[in-house]
Amino acid sequence: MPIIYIDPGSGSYLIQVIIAAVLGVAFYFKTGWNWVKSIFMRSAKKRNSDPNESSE
Amino acid sequence: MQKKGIAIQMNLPNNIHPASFRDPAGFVFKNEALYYRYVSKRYQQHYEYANSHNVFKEAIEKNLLLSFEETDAVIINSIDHYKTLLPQQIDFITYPWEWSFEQLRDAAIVTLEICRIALKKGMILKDATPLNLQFVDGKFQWIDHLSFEIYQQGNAWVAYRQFCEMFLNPLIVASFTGMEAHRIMLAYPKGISAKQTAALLPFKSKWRLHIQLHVFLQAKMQDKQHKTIPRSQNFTAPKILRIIDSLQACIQSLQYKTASSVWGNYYDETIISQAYLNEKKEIIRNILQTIPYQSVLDAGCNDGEMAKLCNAQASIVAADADSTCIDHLHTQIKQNHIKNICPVVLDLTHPSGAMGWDNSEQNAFFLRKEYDLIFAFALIHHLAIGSNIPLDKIAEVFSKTGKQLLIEFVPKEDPKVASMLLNRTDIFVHYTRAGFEEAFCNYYTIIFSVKSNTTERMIYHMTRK
Repeated sequence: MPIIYIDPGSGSYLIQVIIAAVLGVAFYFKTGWNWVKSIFMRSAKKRNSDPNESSE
Repeated sequence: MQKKGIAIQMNLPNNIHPASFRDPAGFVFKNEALYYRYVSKRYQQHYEYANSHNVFKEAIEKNLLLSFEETDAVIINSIDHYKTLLPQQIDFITYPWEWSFEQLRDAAIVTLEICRIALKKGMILKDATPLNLQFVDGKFQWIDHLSFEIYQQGNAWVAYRQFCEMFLNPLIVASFTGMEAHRIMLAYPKGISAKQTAALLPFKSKWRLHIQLHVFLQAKMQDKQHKTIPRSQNFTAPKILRIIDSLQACIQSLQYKTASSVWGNYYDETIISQAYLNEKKEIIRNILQTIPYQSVLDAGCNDGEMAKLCNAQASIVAADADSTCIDHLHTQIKQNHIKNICPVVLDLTHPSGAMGWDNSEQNAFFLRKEYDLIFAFALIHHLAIGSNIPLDKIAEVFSKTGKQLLIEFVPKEDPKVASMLLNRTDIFVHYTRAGFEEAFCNYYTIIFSVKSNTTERMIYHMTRK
């Protein structure tokens, strides 16, 4: 049995459902965006990197 | 508050902590100078789960939860009794209306981190109030061991709104308006609603996703909260974790406006000269080596330079009315892992009063502790001239709470006092060295006094009569 003496608001449930959904969508786009960015970063890195410096 | 089943309605002694009655899972009581936590049988399944899934262990190891041990001694005998815990004892209790912005922010982060640990192990925090945190060994720690409950899939975070109202919204308001966090918490001890927060925020805050979600969206929905929606089994712990990540990102991104501007010229404005500061430190360091003390109240601690001269075994409450000073001291405590200083924002002319139910849940500042030693450096002129408090009354208040006193007398010739008197009538005829000594001798015996070489200031060591 959940103890509800602290937060009696059932409205709190709906808002959390909505926020979690929005954050989920935001996370989805952010991951996609990071993926796109990483492609360009990688190609930029390749162009900028000096083969003489990479000893590892 | 649920009345049914409250354990303390049984034949229980009157040494139960006056703030420990809201949660039927147990309560805190005092026995022979030690505080214990009584755990009732109704909390048994949650306690066993937390124990077997190492929720307590992990939170304690990460210094997020106050450490405790189970004790076999049945101090309170009742059919409802499940366990008695002996938590680490807390030297000095502070309240959110005595915390600076950075302190409230740290307390909020600890709350989220502890909830994250609980969620990953199938539990959740059932409440999220700053009153469940205390500053222990230089860090905020969660002190209520009965706040964890088993998470039922489909449920939302029961304490989400409380967290927003008591941590997130005050921090956001402080950040965007420049209001001090401790004053917000004093004015709204139960927190600020999303609606109130939204009304106080400037337009630019609407561009932030997390604020838009947790404040503006919530404010809009507050009117519609009577509509109930069915619980969905799709709502799971990872979704709550996502909300917790969002709350944490939001809180960590906040900046307190006045922090940088005040600190830019802090030393120039508040401390007369580096030479005098060094001389004063040397005098105090020498005195401290010769006198015994365990507990210190540094009244008007500034950024805690003098508090740091105390021996590492002594526990120090460092109080200042300037929350920026306390922010700075708090940051230093974290960076340098100082464990024995507890910083509080406190205006000595308006110290925190008794709060809560029956005026007894939270104690007034000066009734919380008696100190072996009080520091009052560069303070007397602010009280006597800045706030018109007669010297005799200052001596009386100090003598009520401190056995010994290290006090600096700042005479009228001092540039700081001269500037205070520049645009007002000098009504302070007794504010002289002789008048000061006479007033304090009603309550204290002067052991010795040292005059500064670089200024007209004097430092006195006194013991209570």
